Amino acid sequence: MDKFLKKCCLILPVILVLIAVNYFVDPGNIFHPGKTEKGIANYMAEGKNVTNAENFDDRMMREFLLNSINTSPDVIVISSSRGGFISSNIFPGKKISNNFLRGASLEDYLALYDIVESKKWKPAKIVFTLDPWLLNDNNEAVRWMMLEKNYNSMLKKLNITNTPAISKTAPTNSLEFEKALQLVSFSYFKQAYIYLRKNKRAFYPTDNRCNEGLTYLADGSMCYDKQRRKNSIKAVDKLAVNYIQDEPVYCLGRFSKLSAAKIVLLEKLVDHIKSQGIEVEFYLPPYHPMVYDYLTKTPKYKEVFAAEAYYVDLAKRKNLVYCGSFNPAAYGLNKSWFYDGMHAKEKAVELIFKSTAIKEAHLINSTNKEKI
Amino acid sequence: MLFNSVEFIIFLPIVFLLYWFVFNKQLKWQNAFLLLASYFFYGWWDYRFLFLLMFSTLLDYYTGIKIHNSTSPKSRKFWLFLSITINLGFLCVFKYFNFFTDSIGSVVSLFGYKIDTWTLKILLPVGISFYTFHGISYIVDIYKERIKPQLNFVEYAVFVSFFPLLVAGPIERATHLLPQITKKREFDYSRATDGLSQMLWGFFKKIVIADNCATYVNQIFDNYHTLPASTLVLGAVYFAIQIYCDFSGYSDIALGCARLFGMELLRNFAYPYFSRDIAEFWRRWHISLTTWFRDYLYIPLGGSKGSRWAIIRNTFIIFLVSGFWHGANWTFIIWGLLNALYFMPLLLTNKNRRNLNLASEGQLFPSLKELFQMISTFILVSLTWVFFRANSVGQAIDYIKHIFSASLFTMPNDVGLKLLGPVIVLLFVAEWLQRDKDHALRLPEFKLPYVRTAIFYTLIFGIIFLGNFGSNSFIYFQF
Repeated sequence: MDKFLKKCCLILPVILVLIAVNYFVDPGNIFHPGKTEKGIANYMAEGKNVTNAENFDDRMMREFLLNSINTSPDVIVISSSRGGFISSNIFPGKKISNNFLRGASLEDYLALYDIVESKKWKPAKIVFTLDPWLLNDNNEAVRWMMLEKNYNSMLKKLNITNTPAISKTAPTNSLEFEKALQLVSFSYFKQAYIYLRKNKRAFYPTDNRCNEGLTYLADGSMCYDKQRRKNSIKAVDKLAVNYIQDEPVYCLGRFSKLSAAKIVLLEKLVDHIKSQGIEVEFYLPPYHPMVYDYLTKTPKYKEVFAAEAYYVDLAKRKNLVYCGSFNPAAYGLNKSWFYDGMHAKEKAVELIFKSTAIKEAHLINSTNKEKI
Repeated sequence: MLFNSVEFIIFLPIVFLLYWFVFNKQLKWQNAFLLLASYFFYGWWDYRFLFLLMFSTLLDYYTGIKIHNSTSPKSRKFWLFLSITINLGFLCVFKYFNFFTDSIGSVVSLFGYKIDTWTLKILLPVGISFYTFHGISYIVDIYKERIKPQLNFVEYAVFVSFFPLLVAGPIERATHLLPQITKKREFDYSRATDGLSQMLWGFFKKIVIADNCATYVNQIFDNYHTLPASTLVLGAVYFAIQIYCDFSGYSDIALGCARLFGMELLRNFAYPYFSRDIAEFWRRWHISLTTWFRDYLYIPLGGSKGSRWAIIRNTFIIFLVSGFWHGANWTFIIWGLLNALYFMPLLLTNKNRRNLNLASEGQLFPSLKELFQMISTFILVSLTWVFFRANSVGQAIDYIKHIFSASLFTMPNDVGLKLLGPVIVLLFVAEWLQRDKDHALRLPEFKLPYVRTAIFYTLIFGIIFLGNFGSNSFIYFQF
């Protein structure tokens, strides 16, 4: 047995190198949380664009960023990635802070606004991107838990004592265990090796708006990486087909009704913001035409349209400006205006926001007669 | 947990050290600990699966004793059929219920009617096809008085749930494994090092070859109607390699792992792609399953005795049942049928036992005739694997139709040949050179020192740098 154990020790150098590379290269920032997030936030707070920003916790980054900004922006965008292209181009002459989050849910919105409010800012406008899954109790969104403290704080401010039904989340113990396993993971080592071999730079500041990799702009919005920007319409269609074929469609699983609890949250949030004299605007992001067509023909996704109808109704009741539609045809958007199944391109977003004719039509239909 | 997972890398050394250093004082502690470790291993997937496994174990343990203690043939038969019915009943419910209801619905719709079929939304417990067959073979062996029932429940439970073989075989026999369990294991250096070598080879086949092939197989099969025929041929070949390396890789890991704990499991693969005809292929592929069907189905049906029609019938039954065992889909049944059709001419002309010896025994290279035979057998087998891989019979037929088109003689698309070409060549060369050994890494003693160590390190680095860690599960886990 001793001889056998000694022979097994021959593998030890490999294991030690594996652990060391996984820990120190750490391509997924598992073992050094916060370092990347703070770095990105610092650059953005200095007014610089940041590119090559991958594998980081964007909620942590937004928290750092908001806490680093001293002066109140004029327009604050609280959004999922589908509003990630709302940039200063849309609000010329105004200071904008886009705080889009990947996989955002309503809980994220409350948490982000809590951070904004804690800064005692009074922006002129808050823009919310309203995805249909915000009102789905079964959207399986868990990432907002990184901002749980702020979410709970906002609930208190809104006097909501019964916490609404929330998505289940993995207990933190198992997350820590999963992280520890990555120390001896061959697949993580391979990623680290690729990282080193391709001399992958960490994030860095740039003056360019768009670059090889994903870029976070100084105003908080983003520009996609080169590959995604250069995708042909055929390639985008394929992405849209893949989007549809994922079962269920992103965050729309078991969407059997609009969540009453989440409706309460949203309405109370809007009232709370308006009571502070801040204008609220809604943006309803369009789906790719193939995706929208699929959703209309699939009965189990009918609540998507109920969600849109509700958002429009809410905007009218509260005299809010709103723009956009889940239906791309409402703005004449064909396939060429999309990056994938659910992300409309910058030019589509600009078109929607600047469609004053449609906005005015919305206003005429509401009780608010003010012109934008 | 999967063999190729981080959890297993942590689990195995802990269990190994505890087994040999803490629990090796007495046989009962060895077995109790092995049972606990096996249940932990199995329960890692889903603890709910454990209840079914425990129930199946208890059932066969109890009915085995009842069969042995029964004096009347009627009573013995009762307990036998009770055990088999319940075991197969579980298999039917979990694995085949939805298939049967959907098939009935399809047949009824052919006559213009529509019925609402009721399907179950239940998980297929991992390994159910394997451990139910363990239990059935144990019960039948007791009934046939080949063995006496195991009165020690822990020892019997270890036989059923020994973790290296629990989820994807090999399908062990009580006559082979139980005697090893009932005897205290002593550590054997050569066996343990050989076990580690075999595991390493298994991991290499699975992670480097099978999982990389899988990436390209998926691409090719998903887009076959837009690809040239030559690429489709490559897809079929890749899948043949993938399924072999996946399954034999798993078996190597299982056998090697068992050796670390002082146990020998039944060999499951004997280099089947060096077979010179279909009959030889079926003597070398998934040996534990084919011999199980031979001993517990084919021979009881009459086997090769009886009329020619009876032999033909029995052979078809075996292959169809084998296909059906693999999955609840018509593709597997057609796969079984095709193999039966391949096998039949050899059986009827008494040529099914021609090639019992090793190919090119004692020679470095095969003769031209043998090479031709091996390549032909490989082609025939690869065509049947298309059915195995396809999502439907229609897709499989369409795929094969597309192969036989004008673009067969064009250059195939660049689908991983640069990576897979050399490793597949390495696989065939290594296994050819070692075809008289149980596994390719049972290396001879080299004159130069450290050659074996260099080979092992090369394979380890090959796994790290060439391995595909994206798709983890083994194909045969779905069975």
